[in-house]
Amino acid sequence: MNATRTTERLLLRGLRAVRSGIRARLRRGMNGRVVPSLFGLFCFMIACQACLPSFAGESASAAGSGYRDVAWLGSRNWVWIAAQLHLLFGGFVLGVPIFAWVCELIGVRSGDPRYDKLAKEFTKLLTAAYSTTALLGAILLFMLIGFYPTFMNALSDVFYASYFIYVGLFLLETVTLYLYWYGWDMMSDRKGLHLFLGLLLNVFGFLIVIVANSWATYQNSPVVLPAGLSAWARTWAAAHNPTWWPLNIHRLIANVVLGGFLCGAYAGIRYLGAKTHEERAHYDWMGYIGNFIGIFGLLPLPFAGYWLTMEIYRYNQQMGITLMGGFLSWLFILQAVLIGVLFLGSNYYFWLGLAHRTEESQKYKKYILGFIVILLMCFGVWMTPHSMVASLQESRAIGGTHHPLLGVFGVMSAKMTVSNLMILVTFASFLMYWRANKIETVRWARAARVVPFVLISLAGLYVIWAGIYGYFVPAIVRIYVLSVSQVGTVIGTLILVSVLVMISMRGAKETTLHWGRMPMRAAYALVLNAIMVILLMGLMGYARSASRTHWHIYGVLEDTSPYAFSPALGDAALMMCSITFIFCLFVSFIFWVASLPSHADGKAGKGSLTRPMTAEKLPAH
Amino acid sequence: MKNYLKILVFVAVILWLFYYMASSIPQQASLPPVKEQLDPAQIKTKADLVNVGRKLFFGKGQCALCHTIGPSHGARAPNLEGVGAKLSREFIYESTTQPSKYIYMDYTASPPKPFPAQMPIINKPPVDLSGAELLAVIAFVQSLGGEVTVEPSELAAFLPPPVVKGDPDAGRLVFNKLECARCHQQLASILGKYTSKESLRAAVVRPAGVTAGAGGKEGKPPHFEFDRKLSVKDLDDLMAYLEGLQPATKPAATPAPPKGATGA
Repeated sequence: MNATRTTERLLLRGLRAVRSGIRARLRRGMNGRVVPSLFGLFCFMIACQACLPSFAGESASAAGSGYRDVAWLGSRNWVWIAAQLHLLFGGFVLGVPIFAWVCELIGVRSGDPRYDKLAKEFTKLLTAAYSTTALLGAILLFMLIGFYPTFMNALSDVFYASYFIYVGLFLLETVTLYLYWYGWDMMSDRKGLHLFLGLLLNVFGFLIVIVANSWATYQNSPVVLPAGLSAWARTWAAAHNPTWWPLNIHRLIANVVLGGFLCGAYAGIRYLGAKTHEERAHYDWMGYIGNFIGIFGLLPLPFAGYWLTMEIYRYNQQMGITLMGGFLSWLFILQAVLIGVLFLGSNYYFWLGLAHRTEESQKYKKYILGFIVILLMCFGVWMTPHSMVASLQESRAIGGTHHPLLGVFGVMSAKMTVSNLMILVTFASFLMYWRANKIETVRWARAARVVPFVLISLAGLYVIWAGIYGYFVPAIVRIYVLSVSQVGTVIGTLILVSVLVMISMRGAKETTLHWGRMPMRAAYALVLNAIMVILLMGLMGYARSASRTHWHIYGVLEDTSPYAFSPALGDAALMMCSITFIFCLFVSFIFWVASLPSHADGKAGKGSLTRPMTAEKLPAH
Repeated sequence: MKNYLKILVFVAVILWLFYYMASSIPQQASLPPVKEQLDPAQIKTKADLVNVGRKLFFGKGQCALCHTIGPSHGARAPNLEGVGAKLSREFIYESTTQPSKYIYMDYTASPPKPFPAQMPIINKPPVDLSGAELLAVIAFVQSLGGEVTVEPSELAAFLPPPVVKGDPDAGRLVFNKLECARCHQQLASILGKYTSKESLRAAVVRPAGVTAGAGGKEGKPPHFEFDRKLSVKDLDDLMAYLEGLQPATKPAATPAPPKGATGA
């Protein structure tokens, strides 16, 4: 009876808090006051979970065994939900400031105030997302302390000192964020100082994420900690483990990608709801910038992932095999599909831009057709599994589990080759778009058009040659020589061609780009890209966690709970999809709240902050 | 709001497609390894030893993740077919416990470079085979074309030390309190007749079934059904005292792994 009353009270309190939070927001404008609403939602969810029947077995409070459990979803799944939501929001609040700061910097350098407005609009999203991230982090921490006391005790023994650093950085980041956001207008004539604050915000954000990364990577690749170390030395020794820096770099780039594509999705959603041509033009341009920054991060991301995987193999080959060749090997087929769709979606958006925004779009048709063919072929090779799902009869018919032709595409040499080719094609798409409305005026204009094409083609040919040669050399040569040379060639080509094109574009004549003409499907492509990135983050987080198999800290602290197993991919995908959907609901809410006119806007006149740019005033990029 | 709903439906459809695809590929959960304790007492012959080693090779030891027995397309580590005839027992031991001690040269590179093994140390976490399990794996690898030189009797060195549950001093007090010595003057010779702890305990608590000597004056042992008359702790203490009086028959179980080679 008491439990029922408590549940009712929680439900009512949750609903009241949601309602009051929204009302307060509507009354006063939204600046980081999303916490009451989210707190209410949390209470509501807890109350709902208490009402629902248990299917996770008996609740337990067996602190003696090092674990506690809860009914319904079970402790592990609750931690999974909280951790993934926290990480996604964490990625958002780390990626968006980078995006905003770069936009602001471009605005200051180019003297175009529209970039500044764009940066401010996204920083407005940031304030709401920041408190949600902190709230989710607190929920995650409470869950971990409650459900996994022994594990948290072991982790605290090692990382006790880092908690002080984390808290200090968090305070610094909070102060910097508030100064950055609230001082935007005040420092409009002191942009150097404001940019410095933005830089500090990003530095603190990066430092926070690398502290958290040290905890996560220590779980996967713990190092021996000699006895007698001080707390600080112990923390540093544990943090400086083999996968720490590869993950730091991988997550930094991935956060830029997430920030870019989420901003693209935001622009896409606003584009769909735009009432006037000016609004459509504004959000079309914003979508282009988001997609561009997403792609910009996406190109080097596979290389960072390759480095991380190589370090995992170096640390423990068995873990590497579990990841790439063991029960998680099929996960990489899913990853290939997601990345393939992401590449296709991003390129598709560029191609739509070429077709609808530029003059003489017909001339690009043949190139686009070629790009589609290459991308689809690469996509096909990337998602070809190493061993086939086949019945006994089918296996006999093809002469084993490896298809005589397709089996060749299942190995790493082929995967590396096609991923590099997809990067080159995407870069070529971007290059085509970049130059679409410009006519070079330099004396060597013809060479400026031909040389990039030749360089990209040569790089592609080398990548293919190295990929084929990789079949005839020992794995060690393929991993340390050929793959590295493929990556080096592609990165080198990207940098060289970009510099070359930038120089050739100096003083170029520009024709009009028609912003706001994109079809509705372009907005959906932007949303699709964002979903692919979110799913990828969830999928690879599952891979990193599952590669530890039944260890909390690999080889050091064993998971002896009833959840010491990694679920099959179907079950894991259900969790990932559910969490992604919840994240989308949260983000939609934040987008909606951010789209409401604030008190200041009302005074200054409609659209002072989010006032759309007129089509004729829009910059080319 | 209408656009938000459209987008949410679009997102839901994408997520459902992803879930459908993820559910359509082979499903395999990663379960924690079953905690199987190797019982050296159950291994009587070399064939038993090899069978246990094979099970470990393909199971807990995870050797088959990389090594194959016979040529295979997916091999990531040396093919072990016939290695029993080529490698000594000491070398196999060293290769599993110190994989990088003997450094091969990679002759495909020019000039040849050291080519250290990346194999995990199998008697350390996460694989963490025990000494007896390691011997069984060595026996299995030896059986691949060679002669098995590991003897089942060597596993005795890895038998767990006897667990003494009670307190012998407290047991002596129980012994005196029950006045056992009034009848059992030649205690050492009586105790020597019982070859195991279990039979001795049974003789104390149920002497009618397993008695090794004469009964009491009335032909019935006076400590009949001691399991009902004594507390569990008193009985454990008494047993600990009596076991201490038994003539020593078992050697101290000190794990002694096979000697490793000095390596290159």
